[in-house]
Amino acid sequence: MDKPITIEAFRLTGFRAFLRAQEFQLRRGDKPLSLAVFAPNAKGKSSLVDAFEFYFSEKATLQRLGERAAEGKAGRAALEHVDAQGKGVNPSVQFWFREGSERFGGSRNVSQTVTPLPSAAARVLANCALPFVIRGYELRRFVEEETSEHRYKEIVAWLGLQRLLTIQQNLRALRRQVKQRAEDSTTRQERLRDLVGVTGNAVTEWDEANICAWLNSSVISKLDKALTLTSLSEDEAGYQALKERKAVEDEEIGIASLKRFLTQIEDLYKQPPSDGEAATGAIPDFGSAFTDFGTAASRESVERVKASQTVFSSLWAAAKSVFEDTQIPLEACPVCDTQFSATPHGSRDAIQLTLDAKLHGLADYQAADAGLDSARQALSRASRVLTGFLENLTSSLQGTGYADKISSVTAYQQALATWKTGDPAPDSAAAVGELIVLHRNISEEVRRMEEGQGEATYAGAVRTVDSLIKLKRDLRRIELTKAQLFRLNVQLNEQSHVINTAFVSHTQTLVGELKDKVNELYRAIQGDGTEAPPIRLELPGEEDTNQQRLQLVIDFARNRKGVVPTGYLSDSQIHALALSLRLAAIHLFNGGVPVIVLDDVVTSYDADHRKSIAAMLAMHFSNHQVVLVTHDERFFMLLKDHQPQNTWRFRRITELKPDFGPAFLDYRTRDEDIQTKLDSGQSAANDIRQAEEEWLLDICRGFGVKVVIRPIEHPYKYERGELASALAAFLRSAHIVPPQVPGIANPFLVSLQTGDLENFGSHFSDNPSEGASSGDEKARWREFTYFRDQFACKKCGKKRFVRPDQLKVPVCDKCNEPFSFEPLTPELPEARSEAA
Amino acid sequence: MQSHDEFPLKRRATPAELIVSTTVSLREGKQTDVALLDILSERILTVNPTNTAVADALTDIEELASRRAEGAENG
Repeated sequence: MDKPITIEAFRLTGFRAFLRAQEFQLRRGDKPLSLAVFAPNAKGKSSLVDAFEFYFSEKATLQRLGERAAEGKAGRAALEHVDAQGKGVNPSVQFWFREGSERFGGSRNVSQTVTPLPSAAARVLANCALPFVIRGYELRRFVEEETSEHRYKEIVAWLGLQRLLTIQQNLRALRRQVKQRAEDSTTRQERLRDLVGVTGNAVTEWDEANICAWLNSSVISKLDKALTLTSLSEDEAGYQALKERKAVEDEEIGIASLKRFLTQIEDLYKQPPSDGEAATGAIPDFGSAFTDFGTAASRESVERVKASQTVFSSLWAAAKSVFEDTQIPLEACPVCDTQFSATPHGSRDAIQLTLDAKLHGLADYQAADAGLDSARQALSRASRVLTGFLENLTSSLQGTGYADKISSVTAYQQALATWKTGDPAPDSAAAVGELIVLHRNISEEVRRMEEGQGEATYAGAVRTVDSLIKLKRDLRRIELTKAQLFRLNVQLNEQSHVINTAFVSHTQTLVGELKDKVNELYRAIQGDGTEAPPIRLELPGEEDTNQQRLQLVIDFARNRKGVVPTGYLSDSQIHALALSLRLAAIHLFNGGVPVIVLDDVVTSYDADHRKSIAAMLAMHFSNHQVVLVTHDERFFMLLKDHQPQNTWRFRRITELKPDFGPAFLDYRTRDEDIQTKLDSGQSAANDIRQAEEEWLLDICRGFGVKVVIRPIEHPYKYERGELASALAAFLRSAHIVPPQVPGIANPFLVSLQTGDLENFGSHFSDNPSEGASSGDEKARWREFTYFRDQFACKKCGKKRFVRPDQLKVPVCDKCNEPFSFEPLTPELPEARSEAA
Repeated sequence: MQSHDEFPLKRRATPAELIVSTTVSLREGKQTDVALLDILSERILTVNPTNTAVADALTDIEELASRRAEGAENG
């Protein structure tokens, strides 16, 4: 960003006290304007500052309102003018900004819900280190309430150092975690738990000699007592011998495989443990299923023949329901009218019994048919299981010495493969005989092997040694890695120290700048040569473990150095310190947006301090665009005296109109207002004095008079007498003779004419101990306005003059006519004596 | 207030510039572990670190330690 962002204009519609849209232009030509607004309390002036806070608020509200009505806050509902909806006004706040030659801006609607931050506001905020809205009522928080940690965070934000703070936090976290990892023994402990598991609790700590001893005595000796290991290494001779024997063992069938063969044989056929019990297995199961199927088929065949006669089953079922219903009187067949007595059965009851018998026979067939289906399914299932178990066994025995011992089993398997339901069952007797013999032989082999090496195998021994060699390697790697992590941790600490030192130095420089500016502004506010106690912003020393703090202390007295401000400064001094801090930070760090918005920041001060603040703003913030609201009229006037008129606008809210909002008047003390006060018998002394000062300042500026450089404690505020004296001196030097005002010359005009300093207090009496009379005020006002009106262009009548450096006499700002007085024709409307 | 063209902006080192200058200064140090500094530069010494910056840097440092341990083991 090359150019700063300033405010060009803003508009409030239906917002807070503003019902109808009002726009505030803050630009004249290529120069941004500052704005001062005076209003008594409850006239809507704070709505202007509210507009700034709302527009730039992330939550689209004001801090003191909150988001919703709760806990004593009014919520967003209070943002909208109470009559906005009723009057059809859409509440909003609009801002326009200027960055170099580019103009940008946007509107933000007021709503009960959060509205998005306008992009223009986001762009402005992106160039701000800290908020530029300063409210008098919240100023003290930073000095009085914040902890040193909070203050550090806030100032870090002001200085734009959040990113550095994040880096410092990340570095701190990283250092902590790397140190933890370097010191962490969890991984080693896990490996040692593996050691305990492998050795069956025999060895709990890593000791290679012990481990080899355990291997020799508990693992290898079961295989060969002569074989031993002396170290855990793949190059070790004992280990090589183990590997060779494992290879040989791999060529043989081990116990585990033999036991699996036995299980597979028993799946097919297992002899009963005692006589009288049936054999189990897939072959007997298939035989049973085959027998059950045959039985079911026979029964079904018989019942099917019986059921074939039941072609009239439907008729019988219908007739049965008729015959069972005793309510139906029947003497003859309902179909052919044959008398029951004439039928072979002879009666209705006999016919009913015959019907029951026929229908019962039909149910037996249905049961037999269902039984046949169930038996067929069971046989199919038994066939599938048998086929699978045969396949398991023949596959397992393939390539072993037992393959040629199961020729009958293989033949049975082939017969079963082509068998289908309804065929005779394949003969299993030969196959069963083979299985019984095979089972006996394999069992004998297993017994023989178990009596020899037991469960121990060379393969198992090699696996155990391999796992321990890997464990040794892992532990070695863990130790080496940990050593490297220690080295890296040391390096990390060193590099972090360099980084932190650079960041702290940078921060210290910025904090130092801030401290100097705060002191400068604080002294300016204290003014009048008052000895302002030095303010110190201090970062912790290098040895301090908590570097994220910032102490705000003062050197209050010789024996009270480095004390907290709240215990020693007065209320207004605390306020001044807080104001100095915020203004100093804005001055130093908000260069991208040189804007300050001040809401009633002088309430805590007496007249002298308000004057000092007005002077301070003029001296230190001439390069800033200031928007200021105040209910302090004297401060407003002081500000007006101190600030250049071409870059400031001074506006006054005259009233708060219910159907409109705050009504503004571009402020100058108006002749009509003074006259109205005088006519109604009110005192207008202050207004007259103000009007005289305004005119004096204007005419001195126009005439380009020279004034004496003031002592440092009164750098800007020119007393009326000084201006009058300077004007008189200028007129004399330019040989312009002021006209004599008719009547009794008042001290002001005399001083103007003679160049003497006027002892002007708060009244117009010649005797300073007396109050001014109404007649005095009226006479003075008449004399002043009469005299003032003599300063007009002879040619065009205009009252604005300029004096370029090369001219000795001022000229009319409009027609360039050199200034001179017209011959005086005294025609005062009333004589002072009359008023008296 | 001055016009826009006249307004001076005081130039201070930005955080990014400070980070770069600090990193360069560290890199020129004879005792500096450059591999570690590379990790810090990538993960930590940046104006826009990720949320997992610390965890990622820790992983990188552990991997670096592991690689160096492997080298020491083989060497």
